[in-house]
Amino acid sequence: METILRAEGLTKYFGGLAAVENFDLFVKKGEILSLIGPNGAGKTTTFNLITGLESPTRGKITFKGEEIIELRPHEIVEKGIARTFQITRVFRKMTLLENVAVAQHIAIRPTISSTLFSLSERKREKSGLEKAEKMLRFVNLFPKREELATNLSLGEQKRLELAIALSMNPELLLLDEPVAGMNPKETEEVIDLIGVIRGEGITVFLIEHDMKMVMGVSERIVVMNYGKKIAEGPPEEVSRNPAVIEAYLGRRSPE
Amino acid sequence: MKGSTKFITGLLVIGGLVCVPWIVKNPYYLHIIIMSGIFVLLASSMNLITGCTGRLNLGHAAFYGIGAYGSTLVVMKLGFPVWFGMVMGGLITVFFGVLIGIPCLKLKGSYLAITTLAFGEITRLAMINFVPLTNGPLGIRGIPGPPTIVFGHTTLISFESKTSYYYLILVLCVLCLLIIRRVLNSQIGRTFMAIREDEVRAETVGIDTIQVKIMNFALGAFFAGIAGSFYAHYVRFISPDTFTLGETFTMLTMVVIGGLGTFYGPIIGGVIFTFLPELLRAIAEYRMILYGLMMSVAIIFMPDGIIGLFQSWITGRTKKGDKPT
Repeated sequence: METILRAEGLTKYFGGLAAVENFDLFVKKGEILSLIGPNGAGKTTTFNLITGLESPTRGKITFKGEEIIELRPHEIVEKGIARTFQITRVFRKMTLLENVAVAQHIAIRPTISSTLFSLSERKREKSGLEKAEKMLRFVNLFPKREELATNLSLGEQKRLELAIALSMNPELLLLDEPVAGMNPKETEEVIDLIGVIRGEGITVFLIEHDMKMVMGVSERIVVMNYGKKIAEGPPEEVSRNPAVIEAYLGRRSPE
Repeated sequence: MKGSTKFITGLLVIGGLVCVPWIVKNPYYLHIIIMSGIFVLLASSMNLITGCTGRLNLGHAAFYGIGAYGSTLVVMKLGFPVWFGMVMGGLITVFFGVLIGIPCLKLKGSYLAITTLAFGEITRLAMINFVPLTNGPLGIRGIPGPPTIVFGHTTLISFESKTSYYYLILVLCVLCLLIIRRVLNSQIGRTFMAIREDEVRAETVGIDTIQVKIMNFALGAFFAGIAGSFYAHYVRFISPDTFTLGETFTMLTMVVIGGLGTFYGPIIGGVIFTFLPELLRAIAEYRMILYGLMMSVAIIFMPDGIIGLFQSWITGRTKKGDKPT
């Protein structure tokens, strides 16, 4: 399988603190890869570096062989990388439909004159709204489409995030703790959704603390601690890795 | 079905507005109505920047002034026709809107407010001190009105009566508000809201926030400029005293109390707060105190403005009707 995303020597300092240090990573096309590690290990920072929200101190990131570090976040979305946020960042005072429709920006490409005079722009807007409705159906939020996002429960907001990200037709989908704070039933639903997404040929790269989910869905796991990669491999192998056990549980004190 | 009822209501409202000069004969009242038209434009354009996109712009009176001076100078110094001058007034304001918009791109909240406030003051000081062009604090008088519109040998409209100006501002308001409504209901309108809600998040859904923010400033400036150029050719006298920070705050009051970020809010606010000072002439100087009080009360008790109050009243009623218990 070809590599869709590759990071080499990725380093990010916040002042003197190395949030991510000499981090190498590759994501193969079509796989489900999980990034795990204790709190503060640098997982979300890694996502921020990939999506252009932070720029790395050193290192490079290529997507489909193309350097993406210099690009602004919206340009990276255009290349085909979409993400969700750990602490949900839906547009609270907009309806669900508007939340997903606004993410059709790249497909619509409006200017002031096209907004006022172009009929094809109206068609593009209409198909954007249809796409938004389809995505809301997919995550089971269609009946609430006219409600404000702020009225949703946490689990629903996470599903809305998923709908927003998917509506942009990404090739690579980054999910930052998609089931955190969800009950087992909701978690089950999201796992099913991820299965469907993968079936569509979308590569999924996720951060997750829920071990049941990580072990269940991922084909490969990368473990981070203190900004560095400490292990990598299939789920069974990683779960037996002493360095990983140490990072999560600590070392047994001698005597 | 719903669209057609809206269309008919719109036509009825416009039809009613067309009839106004036959009912209101007193030129003083007609003058206030014309001024409220100008302020509807100003409040709606300020709402585009401050309400919809959530970027507090305290230099909006400067856009109003640039439109007025721009049009006046194009007509009086360069000798172009008035109609051309009015369009140029709008476009010159767009130029300045983009000029101030670019350095303001990375600013938010109070920092943006302070920067735009300074821009407003600089513009006002330039009007006062750039005497060769603006005639300084004395202002420019004798600004020509639009030329008489003649069809064959019959005079259709001559801009000597208040009535003709009333129809001109009515046409301008309807055109500009139609454009604003279309923009707000379009993808661009949604991107404005998204930027107001969370700018970084807006980037991550593929929105070029820099481009959209400049677009937003340009649009807001354009309509304020058009309002300014109409004002200049209507009152026929402009001076820096008209385009002060106080005027910006009047517009802000209109937007906030009318309904921040809504389409109808600034229209209602614009009309109310043009009439109110006339009704309150008796207390003159204390007016601003009353404004401040109203603003505080409005922010605490009706954060979504008059429109919000109206909407919650309607939905509250229907909800009561819907619920069986």
